[in-house]
Amino acid sequence: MKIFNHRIQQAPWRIRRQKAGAVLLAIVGASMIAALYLSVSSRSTLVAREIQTLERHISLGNQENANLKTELAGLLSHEAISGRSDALDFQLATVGETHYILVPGYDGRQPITLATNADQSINTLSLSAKYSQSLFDWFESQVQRGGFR
Amino acid sequence: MRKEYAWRSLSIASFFILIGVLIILQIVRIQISVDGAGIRDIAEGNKGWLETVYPARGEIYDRNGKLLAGNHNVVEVGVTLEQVNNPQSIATVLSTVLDLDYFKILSAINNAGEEQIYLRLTDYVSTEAADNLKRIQGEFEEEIQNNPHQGQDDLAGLTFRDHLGRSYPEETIASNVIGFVNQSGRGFFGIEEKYNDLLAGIPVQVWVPADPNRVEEIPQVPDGATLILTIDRELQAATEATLDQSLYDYGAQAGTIIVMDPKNGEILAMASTPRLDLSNFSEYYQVFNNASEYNRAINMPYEPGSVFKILTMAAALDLGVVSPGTTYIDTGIFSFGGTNIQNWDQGAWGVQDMTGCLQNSLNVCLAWIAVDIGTDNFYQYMSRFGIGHPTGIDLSGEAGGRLKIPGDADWYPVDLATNSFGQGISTTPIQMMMAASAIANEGKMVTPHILYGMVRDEKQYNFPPQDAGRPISRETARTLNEMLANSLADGNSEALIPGYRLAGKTGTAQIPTEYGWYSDDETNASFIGWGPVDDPQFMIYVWLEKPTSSSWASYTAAPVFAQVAEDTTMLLNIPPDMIRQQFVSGQ
Repeated sequence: MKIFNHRIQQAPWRIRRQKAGAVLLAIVGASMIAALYLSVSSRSTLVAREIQTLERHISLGNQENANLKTELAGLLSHEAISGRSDALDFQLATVGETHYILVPGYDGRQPITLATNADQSINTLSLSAKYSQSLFDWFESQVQRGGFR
Repeated sequence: MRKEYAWRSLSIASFFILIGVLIILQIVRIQISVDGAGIRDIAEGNKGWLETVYPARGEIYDRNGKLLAGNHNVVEVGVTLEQVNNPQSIATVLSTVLDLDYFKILSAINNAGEEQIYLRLTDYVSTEAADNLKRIQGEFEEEIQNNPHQGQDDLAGLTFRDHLGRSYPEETIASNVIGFVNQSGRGFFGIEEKYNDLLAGIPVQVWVPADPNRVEEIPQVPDGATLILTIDRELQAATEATLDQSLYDYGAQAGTIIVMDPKNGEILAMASTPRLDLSNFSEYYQVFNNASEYNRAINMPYEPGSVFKILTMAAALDLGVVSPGTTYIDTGIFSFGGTNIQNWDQGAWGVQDMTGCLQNSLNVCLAWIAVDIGTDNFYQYMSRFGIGHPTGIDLSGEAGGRLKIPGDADWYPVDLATNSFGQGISTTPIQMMMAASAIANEGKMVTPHILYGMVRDEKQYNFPPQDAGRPISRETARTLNEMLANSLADGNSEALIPGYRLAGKTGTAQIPTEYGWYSDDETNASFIGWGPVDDPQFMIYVWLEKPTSSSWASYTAAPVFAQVAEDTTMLLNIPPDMIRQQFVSGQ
């Protein structure tokens, strides 16, 4: 039996090579996982830093916008405009020099609307529903009005 | 042979195991040592930091979208202490460029705590000045690199941080209405104080981790709300120019002019003297003696004088005590409450109808009317007109004035007679405007307001006008309107402007002294008026304090009213009555 075992056993050098191969495989596998982990984490780190940089840029951009808006307001201030109009020899018109004409449909100068979504109630009244309702809203309104009977 | 080498493997393995065990022991030792807690705290501190994100302060616009208050870049200047090589250089340059105290800077840097990393030296430095400092810093660095030697100038460690600061592009225009923001971001006076919470927004604290893998998106902090005022910048500037000119022309000490839409209470212009350049708000104490001077239109009650007669007449007409045709024989004296009431010229004007009483501003006639109305009725009406109470205008620091009523310790029966022509009573100009809005607006009184709308989260919310009650009937208002228009026209008032029918009343009031009697030579000149009479679109109040060229309002406040009325019609595109009526009939 011993002789038989001996005959079917692999050579010791072969076993050692297999063991070394298994260890190497494990090391290579672990290295690959580590490399993958490092790669992913370094990329996510870079992206995170980029996000921080972009956020800083957004904040600086907003700051710059605010600054430019104020600078523009300074250039268009009453004093600046009056100075320019004086330099161009403009003068304020008097009542006698003014001619009034009726412009149909013009209600005179209205106060400014700064937001696109101004005064919801006015928009709802003046805009036809077809410009704002979804297909589902339209379907629901038709059902409520009995439009499908 | 194999056993000979086995001990070597075992030795190496044992060595590594020993190192591993030692590392683990050291870790455990550090954890349980006395310094462990401190080290843990340091590690915790290095994980990241808490940052407060301040939203940008909301902007303020006039009704036509002209920016009145915005934000601009300013720079905080400080030092990163461990990088500082030459504190003297920093102190010298900052004291020269920014006009700061050399010794204060030097002492602040030298006495900074050992654990301190950063020291703020100054803030709100203009970008131009900061650029200048950066240029000097660069030149010094270059010199150090090219020609290094001991003790040379060095601005190493000087740090700059950009941030937003408040800016007022119109400088002094509407400064009494807007107010200002100090360096800690708090609003003072006017809109800036009244709506400070809305404008400032809500700061958010954010944890910023040092580990980039834990970085999270910084939440978008919404900016403060943007406010749109009812003010018209051009009209405001023109009104301020007229006020300044009138102070010069008539030698008045101070003054205020308000322009309001009597139908909805929108303040179109509110000028007051003195004014502050809002970009240099630190000059506040040089410009104003006390806070009530900041905006006389709302902060400073005074005895309005004869402009008050319109309210007495309104009450009498509404009660049916008098009608426009009622006559009164003015003997020049009216005795009541143990006191003789006299007219402004101490004269007797004979038979007068009610329009004549207003046109000639007869104290005697109005005192007679007040007595006829009766004490209870008179004070009830004055209370309905809002006299003695703040109007509720959306500006900070509004004063309430004073209306003494029967039962008050300092009320005497004669007060009924004197109050009827605006003496012994104190109101602010804005209170008078609110009360008079009932006459111009068919009996309906409106609350004056300055905020037209607000923009938040990209939505605009416009604020509707607020009614302040109906102290008199529509018929009374119409009747009085006609009487006041006729009294101006018949009296050839200096308040009139060609092409427009206007209604109004002058008021020349004696000024009470601190000793309890009235000054002989100083007056307050006022005028309240509105137009066009058939469709009032503006109401103007003028108050000139202590004019010296003439003590009479008809020669001072009335022409000022006319000038402002003319500017208003031009800037608001209000055509003369004839053209407007043609347009209306054409439609």
